[in-house]
Amino acid sequence: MVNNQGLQKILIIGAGHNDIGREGQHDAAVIQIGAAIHKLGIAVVLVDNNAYSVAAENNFADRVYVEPLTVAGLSRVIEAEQPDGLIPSLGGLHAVSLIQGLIRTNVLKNNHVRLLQWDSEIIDMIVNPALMSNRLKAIGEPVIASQVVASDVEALAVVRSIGFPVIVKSVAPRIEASRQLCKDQEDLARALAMGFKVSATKQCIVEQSIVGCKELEFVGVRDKKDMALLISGMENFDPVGIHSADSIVFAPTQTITDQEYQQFRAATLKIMRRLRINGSCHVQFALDPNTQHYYVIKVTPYFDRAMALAARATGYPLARVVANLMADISLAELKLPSDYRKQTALIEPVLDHIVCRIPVWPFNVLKKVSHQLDTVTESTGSVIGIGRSTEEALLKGLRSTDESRYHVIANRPQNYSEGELIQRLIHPQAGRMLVLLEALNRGYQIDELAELTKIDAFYFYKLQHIIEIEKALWARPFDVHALGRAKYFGFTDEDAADAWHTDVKKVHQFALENEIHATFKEVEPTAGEFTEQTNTYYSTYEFDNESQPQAGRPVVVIGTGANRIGTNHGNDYLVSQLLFYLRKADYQPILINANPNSVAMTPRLATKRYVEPKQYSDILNILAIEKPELIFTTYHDYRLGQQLSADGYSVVQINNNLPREQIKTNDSPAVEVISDGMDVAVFGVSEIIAGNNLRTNVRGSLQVFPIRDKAENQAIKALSAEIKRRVLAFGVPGLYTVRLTIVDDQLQLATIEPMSIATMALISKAVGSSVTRLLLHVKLGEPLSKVMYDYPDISALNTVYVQANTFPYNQLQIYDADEVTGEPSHATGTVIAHGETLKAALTALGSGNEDTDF
Amino acid sequence: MQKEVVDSMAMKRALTRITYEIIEQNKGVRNVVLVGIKTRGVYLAERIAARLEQLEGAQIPVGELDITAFRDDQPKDDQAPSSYQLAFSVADKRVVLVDDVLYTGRTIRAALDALMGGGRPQSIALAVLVDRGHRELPIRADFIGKNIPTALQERIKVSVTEVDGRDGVEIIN
Amino acid sequence: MADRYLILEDGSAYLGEGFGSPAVSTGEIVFNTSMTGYQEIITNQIYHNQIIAFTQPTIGSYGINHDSYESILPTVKGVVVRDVASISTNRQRRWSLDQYLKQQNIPGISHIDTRHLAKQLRASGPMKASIVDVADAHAFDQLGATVLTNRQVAAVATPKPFPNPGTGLNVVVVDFGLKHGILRELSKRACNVTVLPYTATTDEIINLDPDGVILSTGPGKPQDLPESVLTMIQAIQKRVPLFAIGLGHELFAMANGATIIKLAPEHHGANHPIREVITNQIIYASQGQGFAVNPDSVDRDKMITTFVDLIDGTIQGLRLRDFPAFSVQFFPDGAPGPTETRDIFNEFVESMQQARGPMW
Repeated sequence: MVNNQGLQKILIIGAGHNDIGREGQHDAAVIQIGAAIHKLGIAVVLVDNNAYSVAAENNFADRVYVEPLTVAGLSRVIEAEQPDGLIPSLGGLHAVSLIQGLIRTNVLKNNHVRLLQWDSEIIDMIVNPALMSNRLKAIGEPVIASQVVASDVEALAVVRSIGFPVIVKSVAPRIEASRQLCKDQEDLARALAMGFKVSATKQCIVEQSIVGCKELEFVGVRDKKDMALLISGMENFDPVGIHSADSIVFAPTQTITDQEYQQFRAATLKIMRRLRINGSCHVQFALDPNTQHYYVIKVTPYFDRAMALAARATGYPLARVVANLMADISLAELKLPSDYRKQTALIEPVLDHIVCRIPVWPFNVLKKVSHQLDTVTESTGSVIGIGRSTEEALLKGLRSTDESRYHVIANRPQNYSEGELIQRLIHPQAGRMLVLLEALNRGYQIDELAELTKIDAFYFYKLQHIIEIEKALWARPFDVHALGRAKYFGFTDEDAADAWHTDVKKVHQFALENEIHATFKEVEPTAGEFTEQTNTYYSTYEFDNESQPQAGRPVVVIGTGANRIGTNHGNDYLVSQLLFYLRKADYQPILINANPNSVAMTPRLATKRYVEPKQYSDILNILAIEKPELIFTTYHDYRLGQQLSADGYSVVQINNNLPREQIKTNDSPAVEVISDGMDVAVFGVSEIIAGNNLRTNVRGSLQVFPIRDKAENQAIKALSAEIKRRVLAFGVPGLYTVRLTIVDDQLQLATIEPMSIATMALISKAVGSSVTRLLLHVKLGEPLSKVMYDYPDISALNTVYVQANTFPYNQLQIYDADEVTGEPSHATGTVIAHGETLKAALTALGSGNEDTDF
Repeated sequence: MQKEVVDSMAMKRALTRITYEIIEQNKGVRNVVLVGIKTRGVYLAERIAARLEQLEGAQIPVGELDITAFRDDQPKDDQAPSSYQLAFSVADKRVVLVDDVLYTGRTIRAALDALMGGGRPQSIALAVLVDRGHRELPIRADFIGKNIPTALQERIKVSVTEVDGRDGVEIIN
Repeated sequence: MADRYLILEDGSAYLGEGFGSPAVSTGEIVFNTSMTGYQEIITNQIYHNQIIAFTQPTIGSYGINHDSYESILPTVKGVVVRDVASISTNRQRRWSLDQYLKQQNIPGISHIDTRHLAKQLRASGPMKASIVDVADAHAFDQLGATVLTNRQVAAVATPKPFPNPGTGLNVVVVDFGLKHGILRELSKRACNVTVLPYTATTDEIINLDPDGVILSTGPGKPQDLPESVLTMIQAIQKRVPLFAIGLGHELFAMANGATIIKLAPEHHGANHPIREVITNQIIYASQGQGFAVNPDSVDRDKMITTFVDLIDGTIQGLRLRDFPAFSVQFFPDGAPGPTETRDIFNEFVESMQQARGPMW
């Protein structure tokens, strides 16, 4: 299929470093969309400064620029590359504002770069929500009424027309001011007095309050010919007032009627048509459950977590389809790969499973953050549970968060007082599920809880059911029916083992003896009406199992799961690359992962995916079907790996970690090496420098590679025999970092440790070739001579790369000096830059990141 | 004051119905040609032709007619061309004239004058998107998208995507 | 809840849990892939004497609402689900699904592997099935011996005319097992409606001086209806604008010389892309169809195909070349399902207005 606009080269702006609310979903989209566009015969140029971008390696793009994400940086790339088109929707909000800059400075016009997908006015509407709101109003979609006022009289006039409750916000506040919910005139007077006082302009915004409404999210696609269809409707468990990224979300919708559903479907398609959005679009709605009246809260035409969830939940090839739409190929014309039906792009997805997305918070690491959930995102990521009932999806989702004992706690009484319980019900905190279960356990009535929490009563019936099942499980040790029912609704052998005071293996054995088998079902978009091959499965306990072992050499790779704070997505980068190179090495990699935003979930990386929690019994169920030659685990799952080893599986434990401790000493060099167990090869020398060399207030440290100090390199050469001896003494093939110290002006070996994933990314980006590939092959037992023969010569590098972690302190409003430390375990992202000299590299790292927490 | 009386959906529907009615009246599309009156009538004619092609698989010729020179209520401009150009002959054809608004009927009379000058069609029919009444000549449309009763001082504004970026009909007063 | 079985005529049995009525019942089983709208589906008379299996796993989560009925009394023979929801009932949501099915004496069965069932039915086509307490040889014998009625229309269509007054155009609806959505859409357009039994004669219809006539949806096989229905259609379509829906569409096609085939697999859902031929645009519509017009039997000099299902090429709409008479196979009122097709009622209204001429 030739694209319809004669496009030859397009530019994709990446999303930059990961952050609160932003995991790998953008990178995953870039990989899929970049590859699909490349297949259309269009060259793809990618600009990103995310050190852990998988799309920026492995030839996913035709040309990659690791450049600062600034208007100036992008202008240089555009001038050099002269692309025909620019894709605006893959870099999140930041990329959209950069494109606004590129339009305003005429860079696009002067270089004849066409803005694909959107009219330029969409850019302005995304950057300025008031413009979007006006536009929505103009096309007849209801939006929340809001008005700027400068006096009490004006404010009262507004309230007379929209009614209480209202939210009062200060305009341009001089201090960190919050939104005040006002239920009556007294609240209003207080809020206005405060709001005017702190406002630089002596103004407030009075806004209609929709707190307590149901929140719904709909995702659709539209092409240039105005054909549009709905991909998925999703429902937030939590009401409006809690940011949807911090809310539990179900797909499909659970509690709305067809009339309500069709109203949202029609509105979503209408908005896409009237705004002429070409591609996918996410629309958020608030629904007043009493009146069926709704409001459009937000329109997001760029790639975001809801789109990732819609794609993962339905199995609809969203990225593949959108890539074609970007190149102006219509939905009816586009061709899908042969594993999809011809018309799959045109079928509105329907589900016969339920997906539950559970947010994951950083509070286990950052202890001083308020756990209060409100309109500001605090979650670092999310996981999904897929099942055939609401209970099963919810329990599997909760288990996938890897929070210990999260799921079997329903019957453990909490010790807070009645008053505190009610407070917690009304003012929700992270991990509120336990509070809701506790309230049910204490005998609160369902309708009363629904009223207090504004959570639909339907969910409380489900929670009540979970409690009943669990109680039955506790009451009846080794009872087939109790176990069968518990597993049917999402409990595991671990839960039963816990209830029955026995060990998991015994329960597992008991279940198998009584023919309680896990059955796997395909995640596909037609609810069984047609045959599809998404190669993505989830478990349930039913009659029919659809997952069959693969031909070839199956290898199970245990994915990263929940994205935790501490640049855990670095591990996702590692897993993604393992999958990629396993496939290249003619293995059939099978991924187990429950993170919808994970790059590793990209369909072309693994040959088969299981969206499952990572508990031992879940893994055993999969292994029983797949019988893999090898199992790969990463450092998170070290204990799981040991268990599986003990069971007789061949397990390759990848022990490369993320730096645990912050190295604060300046100029501490390290030698980066690889070993096959027999021999050692040196990549080069890296160094860690204190971050305030970049600018003041930098808390973390920076890593530099390669160091080309002659004297230093010579000194290291002199140590090479000792390095080799010490690394070999380690005994295991792998990537290592040999730290050096200076004692009496002499370099000496200090410690040897597995190379951190951060360093792996740094070297891979600097050299332009992945060291994960090398790691995989030495782990598979190949000799260095075979592994390294085509690896680029590092001594020829004449560019210095620097890398820094980014932190969420500002976003989470952490100002406590004890906690604002910049240690690697607090990081949410990593940025990379380069230059001819260290100084140039540091300048590049700083540009565009002036407000980034380093 | 502007009031949208036909939205894009309704406009699409009107053109669809007119297309079916053209087939009904002509017992098919053999010998049918469409002649759009500039400017918006031409785009409407093209849309009808596209619909006929979808249904019947036949390409229906679409001509353009600029009748400014033929109108009896416009000052005569000696420089204006006294004839028009169609890419095809209308002789022995079933001509369907297409215009956006039918009002006094003078535009249509001028169009008939212009058409008759180019040979003798088998028949001429008239399709309009909007009939707003206030005829000054004995002319009626065969295919009407929408009858919109109007006051004399009101104006009807037809927008088509090709020219105006969107589809719709508004009353302006 | 008690263990019950869903048994199929091919000998397969599914163990589940009963809900709704404890009655034993038998019908033809079909699966529906709609994501919402179980109440509308259960009360749609096209499912008369059928057992409906929902692929959407949780059914009943918002209860039964007064404005979601598609008929006064549901006549389905059973409801098969993976999971039936418990909910609070209050003024707004008067009954739970379980309570409602009990009242209506309709058995339900939950905890069924509905995905496997759908795959089985996709391969086999609809089968006779029963919801029973014991899946023994006797139950299978009973199932095998049951002969399903072919008089579904007579069972569900109104025996007597009734009005649905309005102030606008005068519309006669011929009832073959009418879906309420048709009346709802006509009411929204202020039509003055008279519903006549499917046995109505041409004279009875014309004597009401209609601006247009609708042939309604209904259950069963169109060939089972008396020949007189076709004669009536042949006469009416020349006199006034005619709009035929579902079973009405199949009858309209037959009246104009086309033949009807059994559709396998059937369409029950709302997600198939359907091409509107005249604009070449794709729309989505609520479908519930076990029969289809044989495309090879359509006289192209007489009729135009207006809508086509892109999945299997089945005809979804027809139109006479010479008269303002047209039909759709799907349910243009939605309920449940996409609402974009409601515009076809506007088309019908405009056809009637056009046929009457301008009002000044």
